[in-house]
Amino acid sequence: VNPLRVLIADDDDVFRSALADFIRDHDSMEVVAEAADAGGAIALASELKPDIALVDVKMPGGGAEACAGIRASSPATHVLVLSAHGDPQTARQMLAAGASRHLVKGASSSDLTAQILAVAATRASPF
Amino acid sequence: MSRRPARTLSVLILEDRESDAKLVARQLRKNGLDIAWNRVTSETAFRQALDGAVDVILADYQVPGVDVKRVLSLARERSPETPFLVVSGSLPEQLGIELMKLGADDYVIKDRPERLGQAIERCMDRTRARREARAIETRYRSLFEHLPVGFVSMSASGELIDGNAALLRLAGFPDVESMRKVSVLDMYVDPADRILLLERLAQDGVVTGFETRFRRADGMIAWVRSDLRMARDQEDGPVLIDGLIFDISERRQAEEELRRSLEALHLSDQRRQRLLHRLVDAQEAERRRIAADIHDDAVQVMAAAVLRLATLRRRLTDDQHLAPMQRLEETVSLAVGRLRNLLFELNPAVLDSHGLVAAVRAHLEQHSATDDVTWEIHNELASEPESDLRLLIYRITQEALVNVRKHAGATKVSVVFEERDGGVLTQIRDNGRGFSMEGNPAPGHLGLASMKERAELGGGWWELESEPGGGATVKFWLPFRSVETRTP
Repeated sequence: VNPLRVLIADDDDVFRSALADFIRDHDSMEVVAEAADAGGAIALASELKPDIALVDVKMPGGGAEACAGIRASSPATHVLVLSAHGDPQTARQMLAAGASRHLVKGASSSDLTAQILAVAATRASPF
Repeated sequence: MSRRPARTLSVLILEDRESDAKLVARQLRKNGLDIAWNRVTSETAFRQALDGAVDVILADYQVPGVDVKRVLSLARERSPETPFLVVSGSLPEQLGIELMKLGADDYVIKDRPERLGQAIERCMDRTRARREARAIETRYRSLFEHLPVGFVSMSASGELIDGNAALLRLAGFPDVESMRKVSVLDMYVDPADRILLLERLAQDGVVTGFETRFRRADGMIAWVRSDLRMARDQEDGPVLIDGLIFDISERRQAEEELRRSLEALHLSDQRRQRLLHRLVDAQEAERRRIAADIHDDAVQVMAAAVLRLATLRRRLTDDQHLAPMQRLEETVSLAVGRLRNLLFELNPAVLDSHGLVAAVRAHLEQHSATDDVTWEIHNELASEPESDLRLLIYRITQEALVNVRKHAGATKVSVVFEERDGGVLTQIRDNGRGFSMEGNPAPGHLGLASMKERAELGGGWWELESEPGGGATVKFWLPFRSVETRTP
């Protein structure tokens, strides 16, 4: 089974690298690219067509813009957004922009894994 | 009034014949009068007798060497109130009338002595009535003079007829005569006021509470209130204007001062509100800055720590190390959650996007997960308060709820918002242990003072009702307008 190909877009280097290491540590996933802003994330998604994009809601260029751009340029990519705030309004905005899930940064890591795999499962068995 | 004087009547008799005097005295006693009499036969003796106490004078008009008219005028002059009766064997009608014109009270013919008692009593009654009338007049005159209010009586064209001391003081004249040289109506400074005053008098006959400026004799302007009526004293007499004039300069001055201090108060109120806005803006800016720092830095780093711990844990196979590592990851995760709550407290985005009630509900929901407190919100506001007011209400409510959580040990809390007196009344009620308002505040209750301060800065009030063991209610009211008027 091919591992899930994951794109990470977050402007915070410390979090992004921790998240990348965490993903890499799983055999079922691989990090195909990292971006620090919306433009970079969209370009990479367009080029690499990842299975999953983990997108920070607050980064240069805008999280919602990144989300919509990725979905437009790579419709098969599932976007999971991560926010530090966790406020419901932002979550709604992101879902409206095409995100599949909304996750809160700092929540339990097993939840993060579970959410990514759940989204991946929809790839495995499309309706 | 008794018909018979209780005391002995002292009678002075001018009579040359002693037997006649005795006859008179006997007659008076027979008429039931208790008298003591003194007979004189000359003008000199009459004059001396007047120095003593005399109640009635009976004078024969034909005493040799005595001119009854002179004696009468003497008596009128020296003792004007003592009845003077002319008694005579025969008195020409003409002379009797003449003497009465000169001031005699009555005349009685000696051969009709039975009339004498009645005549004296009638005279005494008249005298008493006169005295009483004079006493009343004196009393009223004194009242009139000493009234602390100006009394004026003038002709329709404003010539002063009479006025009291207070009027003279008010108008600045030394006496009535000098005030008569000017027209009272001319003292009303504003000609339009004067015309209006006369028109209303002519139309209604009465004017009350007419406030206008009044020029005193020294040229100074005073404020007066006039209560006047225009009427004829007698049916065919001249039209008079009379009534009261009050000096209201002091009141006017006080009103002016009050107006000025209200203006000053208003200005300082505006300054206070500008300060409040600056304070609130500065506090909110500070909170946003801290929130941004936490969001952009602390939360990211700690969230990264959670992932690094998770990555590390995945490498461990030994249960001895796995369990503590799991707990450590959970602890850091919990810390991130707390920081997230703090972010919300510092900058509740939901307040602007979803309003006051949503923000308070979000605050309560955040904590209800960890606290064993049930809560309810009753919102009776017709509309969402304007943003500055909303923020102020939210901040005070938040402080009150933090207090409940930290100190009250409550299991229930309710928040009520309602419109009251052109503002918002908020009540936060808990069923906790409450506390006594007396003595020192409980440790950690600094929040009470800051809540009160905030409410007062917003132009409202704040109070705490609490009994030990009986729960507590924080109540505060903030006006709609006060925080609306922002000055750039």
